[in-house]
Amino acid sequence: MRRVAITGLACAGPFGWTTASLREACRRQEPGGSMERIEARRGRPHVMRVARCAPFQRESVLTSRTLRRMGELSQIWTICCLQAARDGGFEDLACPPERRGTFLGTGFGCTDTTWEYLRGLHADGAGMANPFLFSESVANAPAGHSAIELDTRGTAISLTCADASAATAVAHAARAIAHDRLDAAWCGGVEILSEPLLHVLATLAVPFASEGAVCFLLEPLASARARGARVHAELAGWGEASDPAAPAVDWSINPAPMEQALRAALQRAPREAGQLPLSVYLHAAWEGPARDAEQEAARRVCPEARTLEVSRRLGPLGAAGGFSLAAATLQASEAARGHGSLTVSSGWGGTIVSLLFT
Amino acid sequence: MTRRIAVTGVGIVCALGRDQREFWSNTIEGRGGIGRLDLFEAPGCRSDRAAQARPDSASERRRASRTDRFCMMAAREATAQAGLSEAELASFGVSLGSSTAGMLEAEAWSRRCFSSGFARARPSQVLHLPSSTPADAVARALGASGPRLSNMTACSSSAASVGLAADLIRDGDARGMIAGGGDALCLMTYAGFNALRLLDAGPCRPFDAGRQGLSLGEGAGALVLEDWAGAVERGARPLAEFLEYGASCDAHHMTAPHPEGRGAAGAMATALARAGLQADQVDHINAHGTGTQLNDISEAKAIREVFGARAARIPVTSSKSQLGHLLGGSGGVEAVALVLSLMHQMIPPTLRCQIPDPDVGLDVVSGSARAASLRIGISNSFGFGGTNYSLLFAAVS
Repeated sequence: MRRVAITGLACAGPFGWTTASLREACRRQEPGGSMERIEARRGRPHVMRVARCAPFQRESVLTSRTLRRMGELSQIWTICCLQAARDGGFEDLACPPERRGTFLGTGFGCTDTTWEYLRGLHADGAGMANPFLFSESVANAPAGHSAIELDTRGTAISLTCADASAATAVAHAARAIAHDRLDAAWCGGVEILSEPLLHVLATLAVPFASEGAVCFLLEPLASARARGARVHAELAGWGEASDPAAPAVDWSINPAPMEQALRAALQRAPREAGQLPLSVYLHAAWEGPARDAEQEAARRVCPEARTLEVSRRLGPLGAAGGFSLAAATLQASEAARGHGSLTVSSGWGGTIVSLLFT
Repeated sequence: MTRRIAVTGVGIVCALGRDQREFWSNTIEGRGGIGRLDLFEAPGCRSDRAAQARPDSASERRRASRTDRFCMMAAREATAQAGLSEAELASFGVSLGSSTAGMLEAEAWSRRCFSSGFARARPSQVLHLPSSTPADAVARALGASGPRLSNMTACSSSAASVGLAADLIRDGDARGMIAGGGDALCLMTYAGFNALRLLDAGPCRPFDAGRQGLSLGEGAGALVLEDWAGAVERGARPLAEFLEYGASCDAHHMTAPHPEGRGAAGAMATALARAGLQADQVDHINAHGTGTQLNDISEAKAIREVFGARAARIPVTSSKSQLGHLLGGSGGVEAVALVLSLMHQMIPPTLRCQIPDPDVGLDVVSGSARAASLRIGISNSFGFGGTNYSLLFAAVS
């Protein structure tokens, strides 16, 4: 099995479009975004924190013509992929296009283009459907666009596991590198806040929603060292489990099966790596049984580790749950050797993924 | 040493049947499932045809989308055939793919929103929109607490889910997985394919010279994949062996396949290479075979590229001529069809391929089912975004 290195990292979010701005946002105590009043079911107003992507001069990365052919989700993801490629010194990466892959995670996908497309169907009839909006409503549109821009001809897959989407995508990209199925993989998560999604989240009384993307460039550690690439961190282990008691659009209210699944996922990643982490990034961002279960599982599996909760400041759904993965990578890159960071991503519906960054 | 993977159960629901027995009997008899669409109205579209399936009783309607229900039906049949106990299922994972998931129900919600505002729309209609919900629903129904994966990789979604599930088993991260996927018909895709001028006004005619597009369908297919040694140890009877898969991306266009079938050839070649097989060892191809001008030609080119002169002699069939195109569910349903072909040593016919397109140049099984000696078969699934998956299965002697 090959060791897996993170050589490229890029992100976009309410904090900005650089890893430095993400690092700064993680240090701040106040959450990002602002409080907004969103209309929920029966006209009931719901006040929630909404953190949208910061402005960015997108034409500095993609041509206007290319941008016009993409929906918002595709734009943010593709720009992050290109930035991660640049960060990782992609031009020095000597691997054929067929050995490069894309693993995208998104919980809700292209809800903005889908909404506009459905609005058109409602207003103009099925016979007048907009073909551009249709193709951009497909959740793997962003992966298709980034594959074209980066000429990645290996696996291209879009994983949708709610808040655990980004972690699932990273775990499977790492698996593909480790088992010699690919030599380079762009992976991570992207999420956007559309008008209908905000109304649904408001009805579900979600207190905080954010948008953005995180993209990692993974490659074999040996190849990265051979080409003299800077290694942000090593992705040393991953673990997956699930909670069959969780409802489709919430975490489990029954802590026992959730804690059992959390422990299974959290134990697996350090066991693979042969080391326990010094920090654990928890996922659940607000009070409740899910957060309690995460804390208890982390305490039992890694009793010496300190727990961090960047999701409370950045939003749990941000970048399909990818913000905490980027934060863990940055911490691992700054920490002394052997000071690993473990992340736990638990999505609505019960998918649980842990990743160990060293 | 690489773990072998057994298929110990399959489940299917589609226009041709609500279980594998009904499906197989109808498909071998050459029945077509494409009829008049009555699930919703699609005025202004050039077609009024689709291959509708019947979900199970309404008992789960309030808690699950039509797609969720199809997936649960297929998964229940597959796990029952595999003979998995409740305790065994608890250690299994679920990997499902879907391209639209609860869109049919979400459309009703959106219509209410557009006509009366958000405040009056019932959110329960939209909560099953995320494509993670079929896998979540299946895992909940079966009590499966192993790894959970959902993917939305357009028309190759459920083929991708089988590949990912196999990775988890091979890597020792899961003892067994329930894999596959499904999709329900909805106006979004019906109108979308119409807008792209990809719908045939009548039932589709894959590989026929006069083909004019695809017909949409719905349903789900599920397979129980297990570590071979573990399956045998618990007394299960393998139905087939999952050998390998190949994945690729055209990196060419969002909706059109690469004209030379570059990515499709890559997926098939990768699957063969990973399995350590030569092209001449493949006995049957269950093609993606949508019936669109571009797909059938590019897939045929890809098959000729990979299999060379032998391509003209390998029997090829398109399940979509009978079941319609199940989009995200097609890979799962067609994988089940291939497993059944290997079990019964019989290839279902491609309907309405009356005048084979001379540019295709393949041995398309048409007219009636064909008995054949089948050891190894491959199932192709290609999707928007240029994503391609090929799954390799072997018969159990």
